[in-house]
Amino acid sequence: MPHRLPAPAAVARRLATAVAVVALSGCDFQAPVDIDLPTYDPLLVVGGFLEAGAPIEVRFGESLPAESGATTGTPWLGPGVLAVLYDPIGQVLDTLVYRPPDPGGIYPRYTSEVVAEPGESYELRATAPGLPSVRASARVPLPVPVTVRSVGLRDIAGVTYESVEAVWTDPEGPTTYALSSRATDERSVNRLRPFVSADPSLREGYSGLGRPREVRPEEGAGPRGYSRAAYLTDEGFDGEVRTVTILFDRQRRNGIGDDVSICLSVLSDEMVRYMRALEVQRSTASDPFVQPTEAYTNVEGGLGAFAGYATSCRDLSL
Amino acid sequence: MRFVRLLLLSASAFLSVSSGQAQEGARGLREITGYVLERSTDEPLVGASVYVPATSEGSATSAYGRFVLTTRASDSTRVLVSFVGYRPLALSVRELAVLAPDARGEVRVRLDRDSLGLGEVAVSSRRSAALVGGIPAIQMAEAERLPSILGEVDPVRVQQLLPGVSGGVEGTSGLHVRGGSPDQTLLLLDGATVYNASHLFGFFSTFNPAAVKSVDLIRGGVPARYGGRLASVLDVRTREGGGRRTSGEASVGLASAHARVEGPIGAAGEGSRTAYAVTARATYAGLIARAFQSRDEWADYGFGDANAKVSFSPTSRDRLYLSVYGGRDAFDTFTSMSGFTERGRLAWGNLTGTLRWTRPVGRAAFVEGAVIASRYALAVSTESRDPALRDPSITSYRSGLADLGVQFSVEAPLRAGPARLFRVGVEAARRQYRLGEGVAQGPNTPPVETRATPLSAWEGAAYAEVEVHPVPALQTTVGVRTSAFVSGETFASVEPRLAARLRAASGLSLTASLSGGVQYVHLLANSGLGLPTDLWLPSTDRVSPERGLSATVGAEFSRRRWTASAEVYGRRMDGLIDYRDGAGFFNTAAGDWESQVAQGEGRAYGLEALLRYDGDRTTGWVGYTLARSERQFDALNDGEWFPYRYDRTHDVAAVLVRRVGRVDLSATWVYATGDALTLPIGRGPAFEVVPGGFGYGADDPSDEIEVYSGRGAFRAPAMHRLDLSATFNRTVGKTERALTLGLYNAYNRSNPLYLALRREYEFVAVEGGSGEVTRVPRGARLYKFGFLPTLPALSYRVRF
Repeated sequence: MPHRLPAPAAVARRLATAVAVVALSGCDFQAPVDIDLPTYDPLLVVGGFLEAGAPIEVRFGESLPAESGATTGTPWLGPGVLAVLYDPIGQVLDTLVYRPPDPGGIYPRYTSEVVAEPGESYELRATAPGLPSVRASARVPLPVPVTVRSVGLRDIAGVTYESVEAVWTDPEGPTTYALSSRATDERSVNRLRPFVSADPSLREGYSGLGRPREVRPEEGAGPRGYSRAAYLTDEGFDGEVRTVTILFDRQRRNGIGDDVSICLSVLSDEMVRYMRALEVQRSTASDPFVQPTEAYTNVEGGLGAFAGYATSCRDLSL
Repeated sequence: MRFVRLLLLSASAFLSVSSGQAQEGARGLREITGYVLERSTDEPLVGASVYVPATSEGSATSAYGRFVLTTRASDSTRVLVSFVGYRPLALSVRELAVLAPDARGEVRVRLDRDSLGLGEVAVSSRRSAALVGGIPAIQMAEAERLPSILGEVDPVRVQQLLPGVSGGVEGTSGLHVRGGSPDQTLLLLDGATVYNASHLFGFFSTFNPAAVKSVDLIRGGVPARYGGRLASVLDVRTREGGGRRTSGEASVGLASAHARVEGPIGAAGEGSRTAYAVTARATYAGLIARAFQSRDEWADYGFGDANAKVSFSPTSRDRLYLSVYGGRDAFDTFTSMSGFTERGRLAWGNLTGTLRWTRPVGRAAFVEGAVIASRYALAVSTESRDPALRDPSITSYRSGLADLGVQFSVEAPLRAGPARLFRVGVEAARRQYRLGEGVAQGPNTPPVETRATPLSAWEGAAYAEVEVHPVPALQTTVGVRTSAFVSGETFASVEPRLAARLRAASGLSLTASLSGGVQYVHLLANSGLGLPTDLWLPSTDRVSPERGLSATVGAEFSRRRWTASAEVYGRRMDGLIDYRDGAGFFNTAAGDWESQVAQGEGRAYGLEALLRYDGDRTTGWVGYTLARSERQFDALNDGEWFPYRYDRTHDVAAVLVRRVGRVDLSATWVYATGDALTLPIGRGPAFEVVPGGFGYGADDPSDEIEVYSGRGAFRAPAMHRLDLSATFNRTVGKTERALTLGLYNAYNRSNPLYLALRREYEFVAVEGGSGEVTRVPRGARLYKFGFLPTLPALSYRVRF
């Protein structure tokens, strides 16, 4: 014997629809919540990246409590920071000089005439009114010379690429590299020149270091793109001659010319860890379900990084 | 094979001893074997109690409704047979021994359904159903009377009302048992492992309530026959189909509808050898939602599942069961703007199959073998179209795993000293892991593929357990389980299992258990939401198995209709995995999952208390858990211990069910300490350089680093909620009808799904009267984002 619904199906359907709409419409509600965050004492934030062969320049900022309404970009530090550069045995090398922010910039710069020498170590000690004093050490790595050569055109899925080989001899010991390219022609000088590569040792990096990813050799079938730099470690070719092939799209240059400078940077471990943490924080900032990443710092008593890197570049006309 | 042969020989030796015994032994012991069945359908009842109060001897029915009662009671002594949701039956030992026996002398006890409370008679008998951890799982008959989300009874989520069992994200069906994560609970559907037991992002489980016959939740003292998980076991058995007539049920609710048909195949009636049960369920919430969305932007959600089971007896002793489950979810999105379109699909599904063979051997022994398969698959895809380009941009991702295994076990009574029953078994399974394959292709560009190398592994186990009664008042189960896992690297483990119950005085029982466990598979979970993107991973040379040791001590006192129990537990865990800071699904999906995870240890301990009343018309309980669950990973939180995200210091569940006339009224109230959260406490400028001669990047004041508290250093506001339900029952002839109305979260508590710090700004006019405005920061405030407000529940069910 068939069993029927107690009410006509149409009525039941309308009722179910109405109730479902009410239910679904309420599935997102938010409200302020009071949780006592601990007192946060502001710290001096250091941005000190020492490029081999270039005068040392450091930027300073101040951290704030998370709930503060001020922007960390407020240049209230002004010339108030006393920053002194030391050598490894504690002798003063120089006192950094305050420079106003770049045009359009907001952070004060502190510069020195001391040039960061490859293989040398430096210590920074700094104080600012109302903030704990900080100290940090950095060693500038030795650059690794790179040679580049064009090896012709390649068609991949209907797109023509200019194929370029970058070759270098990796020194003994673990090394992290950044491989980048910038335009050098007059129209687009110093602009990033994107490239792609199928080399399995290159690590993913969309805007910065990205999160490391081990790519197994058999997976290197297709090229992936790098808008800023490709990152790689020497795992698998430590102490050997390494050749990496990168491809430049000749058809979609976005206004960037064909004169490029291809650079291989050796990054210190502190710089890698700082930039990696920064990148992970950025990429997961909007995901409430990902465990947050603590910002890396090698600055005692403060935040930020004081770290060295060394770059070797070669120019090429595509 | 040699091991199996030895096992069979050993078993045969035991069986010959057992079967050679007279039914009544020299010391006055007698064995009564038989089945407990539902009267109207002859459906075997799993976990029913057969109990002799005078001697405190008892037995619980197996997955086939079978019991072996070994008793020294005299013929006239009273035996109680009971099961939740059924009218208990009291009869003498003599009556039981001759109750509808078959050719082998195995008896048949049939119970009538009874939607009322258990009553005093059954209270004491149900205690024997579980040897230890005396709080049995909530069965479907009880669950149907309790409030539910949108009227959809969920056999898994309802277990969160038990002490020691908590949910993670509110409303989801994941089980966090005694401080363990959801993956540490072994979910079995007719013996097959279910890897992702969630529909609708975890708000419904894959277990169709209409298909479920029994639920057994083992929270401590896990028997040796179960393995592979650290915390607990949820063993769900589906209906087999009636032996006498075709029957079924149909139900419609706000979110879904389901139907079941079952019955004999061929000649119906007593002794019908072939039976079937088919159940199907589908949701229409997505279709309804579509009607209220625009053509240019919509989201659609659908899920469905089906269970089918056929059982038949090729001989008078042998019985075969074929059980199949298939379920699938699909979440589709579409956006269109100015000719640009984007489609997305997230789809996942489980498929399980079990072919099982059973055979009684000798007088009371029982042999069982099975071939079991389980498969889980996830697929994510997007397609974007630019009207100016011929080809679309496409991304796709797939992952999953598949198991194929065999099991064999023997169970038989023993008369060796105080030993009463032994059970031995072997298992082997091949597991294949598809750890993520992604393809991305833009217009006019070649596809970029990422693929984590698929892995396969072998897992094998052998176990033995013996029930020993040193004295009548003391029942113990002693077992050992050995297992091995081969996935390039080989892991092996020996796990002790011990459980004991001492009936110390009238109504008072003391329990204790010790249970070692090893878990060779890990669940890498983003959120605890039970998202389909959670990834099951094998142990490898870089990721070791999870190992744990649990112990419990408890006491239980029952008097008339009241039962009070308390249990203390502790567990150590090692080899736990978690994402490294900042890692997430989309990194893992890119290939190298091993570098994305950190391994560490954990500890969980707590006190559980329960006060329960089982009246004729009123049933209810209050459960309370005081607990702590912590983790320590060298790579996380500076190596310091931190609370597990779903650590619940206090967890309370109060349940009240009252029958008024033909109406079941019920209310549940739950309270739980909030999640342990990591929150930002400071922020600063994010300085960086671009290597390659670019120097410092441009100053960007909005680009900041965040400084966080220690992991889990903050507590979200507590979660609490009141749910109400009223079920109007009506029986016409053989047809039962039930209309359920209810409210979920009756007082509209905004329980937080997550917390986030939100910057607040004020727009002020720029000085000079130009009319321009600028955004001025005014601070930041912590917000909680709730998810489930007051929701109505409505369902109508017909059972015939």
